[in-house]
Amino acid sequence: MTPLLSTPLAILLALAIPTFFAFLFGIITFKRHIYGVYCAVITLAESLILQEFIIEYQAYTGGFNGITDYSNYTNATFLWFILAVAVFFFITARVLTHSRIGTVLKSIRDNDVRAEFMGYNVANYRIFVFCVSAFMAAAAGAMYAAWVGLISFLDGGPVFSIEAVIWTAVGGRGTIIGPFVGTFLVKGAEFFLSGVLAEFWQLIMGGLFIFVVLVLRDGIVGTLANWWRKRERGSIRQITEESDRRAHDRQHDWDPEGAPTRSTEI
Amino acid sequence: MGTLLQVQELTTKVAGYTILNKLNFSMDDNELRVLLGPNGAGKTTLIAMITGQFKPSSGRILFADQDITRWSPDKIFQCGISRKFQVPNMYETLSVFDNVMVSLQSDRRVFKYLARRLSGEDRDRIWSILEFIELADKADYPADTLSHGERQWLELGMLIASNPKLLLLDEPTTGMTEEGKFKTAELIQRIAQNHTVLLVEHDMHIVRQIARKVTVLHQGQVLAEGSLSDVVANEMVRAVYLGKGKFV
Repeated sequence: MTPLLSTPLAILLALAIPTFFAFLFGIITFKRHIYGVYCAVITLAESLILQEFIIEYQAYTGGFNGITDYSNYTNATFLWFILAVAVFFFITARVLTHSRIGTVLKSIRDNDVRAEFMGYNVANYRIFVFCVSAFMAAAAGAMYAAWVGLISFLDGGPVFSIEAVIWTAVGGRGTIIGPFVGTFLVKGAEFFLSGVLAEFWQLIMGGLFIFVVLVLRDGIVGTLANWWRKRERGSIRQITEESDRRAHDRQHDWDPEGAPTRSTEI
Repeated sequence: MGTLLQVQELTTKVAGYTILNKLNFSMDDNELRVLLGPNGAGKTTLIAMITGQFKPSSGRILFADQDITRWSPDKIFQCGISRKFQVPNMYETLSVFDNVMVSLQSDRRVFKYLARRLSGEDRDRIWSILEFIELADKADYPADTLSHGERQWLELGMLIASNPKLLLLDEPTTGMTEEGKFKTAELIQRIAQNHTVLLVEHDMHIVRQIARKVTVLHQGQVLAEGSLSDVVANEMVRAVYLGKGKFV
């Protein structure tokens, strides 16, 4: 196993293999017009398969115990590096969603049938974002492994995936800063509370998820953004009323020459 | 004027029912054709077949000398066929401007799209389309704040933006007021000045207003074809519609 001891090769494979698998699984699901809830179920099943795979091939993966015998980086410099990568990915995601391809992706989210009949190969666009996400997750996972110095089947399983979904839901879906905020809040709370409430922590996490899904549907950032937008521009109802009023004004401004002038009395 | 669209012996069977029965149909370049027929005649099914939503049991569809019979919807769109759905169908959370921008004619492949910026020319085109469909001063509004009639017009604008050779309009005036219907019919006539249009319509006022060549479908076959007055005088057409009073 000497080639795997080379650090550059390990980094390259850590990024390339997950992206490749995302491409493969993306083709399998999206090309067959599977998406939404069904796609989510399939990705959970895939992570279960990975987990079983890790437990089964003990010789290579350490089985139940995981891999611990490697040198990890637990210094401040590496922490700064992680932060730099996070900022880089944040900017990448922001540029991507605000470009023209971002608009196309949003249009597919809103109405994939219309997008397909507008000439977009919806499956290819889905595979593309799936691969971009997988690449980012791969980088995060590689840095996570290098930081904690212990990697086991639990890190590849569905529980960890669901935890990431909770972070996103708490922070705010549909925003880029939301998942960052959610992760800091939830992991921070875990850090401070798990010592006191160790047995109840998972219960609290579950309760938090249900609360967010039922009450704060757009997460913390989404709710704040909605509130701000309402303050700035008014609610949807106010916007439509304003548009109606403008259309009405337009009709009354139209005063062709020679037409009888409107009387002041109605 | 050559033949743009040709449907040959098209048959569609769904769960044992024959929807289209050896249908032959063709359209010339720059034609405005109205498609009539009672409910279940196969009008929407024909449009779904041409755009690749459903696959036919047998028969062929030729468009601009290409056989497009079993192509996927996005490929059929790219060779120049745009479709208007019966219910307004757009991207709800995007702004009116972005709705038209996404529909602009362009290379739709993912990696071609990555580096693309919006040129000044594109921007002018979007604004002129927004003027055309009278939504220019609502350009920033999310599409789901529009009224029903405005949505229908926005979708027409999106179709114009894609610059197709053939527009398939499936009852674009559904759910509109009489005034809205009249304006929409005018808009369609203006679109038809430099596009080929196939219009499915139930409302006889609009058919009269547009009145060019009319094709009547019945039980998956062409029952009559010709000018509106010929078709209305046709005994078989009268028999099919009898009791409905639509042609009286």
